[in-house]
Amino acid sequence: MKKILSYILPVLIICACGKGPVLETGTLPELVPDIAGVTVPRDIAPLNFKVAGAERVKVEITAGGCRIRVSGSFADIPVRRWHRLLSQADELELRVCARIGGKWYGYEPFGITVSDDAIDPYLLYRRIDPGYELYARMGIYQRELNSFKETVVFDNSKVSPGCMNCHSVQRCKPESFQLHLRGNKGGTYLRGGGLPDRVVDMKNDRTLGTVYPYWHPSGNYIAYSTNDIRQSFHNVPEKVLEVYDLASDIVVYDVRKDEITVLPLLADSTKLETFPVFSADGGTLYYCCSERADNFADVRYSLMAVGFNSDSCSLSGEPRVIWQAEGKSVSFPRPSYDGRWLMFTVSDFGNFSIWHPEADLWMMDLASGRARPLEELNSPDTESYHSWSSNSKWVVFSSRRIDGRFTRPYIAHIGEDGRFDKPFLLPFSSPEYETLMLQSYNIPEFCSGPVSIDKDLIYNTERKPITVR
Amino acid sequence: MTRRIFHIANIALALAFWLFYGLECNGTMHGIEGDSLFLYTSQFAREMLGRNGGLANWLGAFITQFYYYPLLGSALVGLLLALLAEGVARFCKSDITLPLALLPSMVCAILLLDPKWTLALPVALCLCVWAAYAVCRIKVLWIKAGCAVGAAIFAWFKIIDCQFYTYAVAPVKTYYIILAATALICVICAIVPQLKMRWIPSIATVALTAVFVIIAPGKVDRLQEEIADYSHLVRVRDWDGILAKAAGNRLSSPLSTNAVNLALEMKGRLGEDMFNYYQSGTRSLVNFEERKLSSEILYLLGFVNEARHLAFEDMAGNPSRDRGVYHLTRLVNFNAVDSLRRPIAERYLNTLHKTLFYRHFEHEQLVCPQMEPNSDFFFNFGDFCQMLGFLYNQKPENERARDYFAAALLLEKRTSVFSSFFGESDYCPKSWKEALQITASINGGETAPELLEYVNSYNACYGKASGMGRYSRTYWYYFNFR
Repeated sequence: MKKILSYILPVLIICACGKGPVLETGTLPELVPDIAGVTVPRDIAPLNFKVAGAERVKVEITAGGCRIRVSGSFADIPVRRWHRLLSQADELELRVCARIGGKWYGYEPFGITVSDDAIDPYLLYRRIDPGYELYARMGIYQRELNSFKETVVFDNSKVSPGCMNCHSVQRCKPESFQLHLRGNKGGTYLRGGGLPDRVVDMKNDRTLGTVYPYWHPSGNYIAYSTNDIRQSFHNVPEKVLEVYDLASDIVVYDVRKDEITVLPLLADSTKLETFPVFSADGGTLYYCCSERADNFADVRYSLMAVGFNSDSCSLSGEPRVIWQAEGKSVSFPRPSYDGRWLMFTVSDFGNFSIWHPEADLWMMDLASGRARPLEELNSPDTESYHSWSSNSKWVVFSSRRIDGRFTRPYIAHIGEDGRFDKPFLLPFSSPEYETLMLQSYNIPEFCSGPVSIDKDLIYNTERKPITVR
Repeated sequence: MTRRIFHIANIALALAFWLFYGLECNGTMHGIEGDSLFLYTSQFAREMLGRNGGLANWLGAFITQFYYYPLLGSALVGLLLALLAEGVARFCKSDITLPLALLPSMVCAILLLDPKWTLALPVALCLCVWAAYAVCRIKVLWIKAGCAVGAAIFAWFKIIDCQFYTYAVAPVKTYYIILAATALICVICAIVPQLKMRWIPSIATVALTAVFVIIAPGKVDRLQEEIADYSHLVRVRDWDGILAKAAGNRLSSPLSTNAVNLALEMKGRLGEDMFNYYQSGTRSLVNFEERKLSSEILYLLGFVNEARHLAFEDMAGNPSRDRGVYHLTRLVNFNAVDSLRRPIAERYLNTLHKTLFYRHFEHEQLVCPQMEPNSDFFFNFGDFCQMLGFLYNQKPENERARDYFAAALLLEKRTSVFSSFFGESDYCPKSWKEALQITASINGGETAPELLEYVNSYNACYGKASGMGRYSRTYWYYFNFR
């Protein structure tokens, strides 16, 4: 039966392509976004797409004996039927016809692999105009990955146009969440540590403002970098702006006591320490460190590791370099939650890799200490922020590969051998929606449930002071 | 008779507003249109209508797009105001209350002359008044009650809570007073019975109309209008229009001077004619506080990155927090200069192609990559002259950078530095010659023969109250007295 279908289907799809002959191109269509050969989880929204330059497309998606046929200006795949198909198949085959300039073209079929590895149901991110200093509209949003539903966690429409960012959940769990807010309602919204939600004032006279957070696996601590950040504007076409630190240290925040612990080893004024993250077992603190330099282009961060004692909230042993490369700089180390991998971003200098087109993703095998560039994920443009799913089978990363400016989240599956399958763009309800979205998707993080925050706490409560140890 | 006079007055007011707003405030109208965006996509409608006051905002944005043609835009607003007055008049049982029906639209008209008030205000009033009238017309009591409750809830969330003011700190009290006053007028109109006062309403209507016509023009901020007008002329690259507007008129703001200097440069006359206009330091060339105009200037000089930066910041700093078509057109132009940034331009272009008046917009080609710096430096807003020097040093063939650099040196009175850069230049317009003469006189050099008589005459007049006016258009006068 299957064999008969495999002969009949191409004929059917060609017939379905409309009146007149269909010119067989013998090539793959130019898909927007490119979904040919990607690997997706079973619980993912339809990968709607269009064919570049096509006025109309007709698509047939088959898996086993089931199929979906859609036609229109783009492939608008029905959500329920898509999920039904994904629930039964390990491999989808897509046949596409496109009408371009009044003529129908037929293309080579392509496949989509369906993985049994589950993915967290939500993606949390900030949406921001990819700009410079002012923030008219920005917000933290969450997206249901099995549909196109996006909800606002918090946006700045009711506060002064201040910045907000560095939202962070502990191991994809919404029960432990933090969010920095700047401006007249500034503070850090905190959930976790067994205490009620609160907004704390992290400012104190002993440390710089807390910036990049990372939760300890116990949920009791958050490691923060404290950064004195500056930005300057380039004047040559290939560069836009440079964000750099004049000073930076690392502190650890005890969520149960609302207390900051200054770590003298990581508060060296001759060095710049930033992007702290805890290992999967919580016993190691990874971070990036560079010597200070007069010229920002000479600042190159190495990947460091130092022991962390969670009982006493102190460091153990001496910091050691675990990866560095001549003329390269490391940012955003992110260990997988299963303890096997450590992914990081490598650029030519500095730590604000999103404005570096050369920035690429690398990954270290923590067992062997060997690192490699992730060629299967990287593009000629920027790849920067990334984070792992709770089961460490999926990774979401920021990329500017579409146009060099608007950051979009891509999701990729990792195999047992540490190689990634071809990544796919976060599904959008229509390619036009993505095209007209003039905001970047920033700091994408998987989440196992929806995050909700008490906005009244932000608008109407005093900021809780913290202590510094 | 009175009702006829009311209709005539209503139409007269709408016509007066149409002509006055469309002709006298067209710079402001272009500015408002540039700061707003209306897309013909379902996504945009969903997003707009989903917000509080979404219906009023959406309709307001819809009408605002027609400000692209000021007379068309003002005609639509005039019609809206007339509709509002007509809606209130429908409640009038008695002719005596008819003049009151004009008040809400008059107040709206006067407020709209301040560009901070948006069209959502008259749209919200109009929708509410006509919805109330429609509900009042229902005969069956329980249906009327149900519709009243439904309309009130809908109006509260989707109409009244609208963005009636572009700035976050809005005069909320004033807004609610206008709403309440309009509601009160409707109630008064509905309950005052017919009285025999034949001429009083007619006289009151005419008097009100006259008062409005006298008051309204005084509410226009003429300085802002001048700046908006010059900004618009820069935006549409009407250099002759700028110079024609400036001819014989005093420039009230350094921003106007910025536009005039830019127009002079684009016509190749900056060095020749800049001191025909009042100049005051390098702020006559650019004011970075005004991001729109300064981004245009930087772009045309070749500082494309910085122009894009300022255009983007201006968009992000848009008080309404919305994107404007003006910003999108600039971001298309500024990103389309070279192939590296063209995909970004495409992104903005795709959005513009979903509008009514910019669906065929294509990027201009006034700046080429060869005008841009090729060696990197960080832009310093505090020293524009130095930035121009960097650019000129890197790209001496960039004539606009050359002229602006020379002008900046002249305006900063750094004549010796000017001489070191341009003393040997083949190109030597009037202001340059005058500056070089100053250096020559300071250093004991020789005066150019063609200037000799002029210099002697200037020196003879120097310090005397009379006669110096003849030289107010020279660089010497600027150098000595400004």
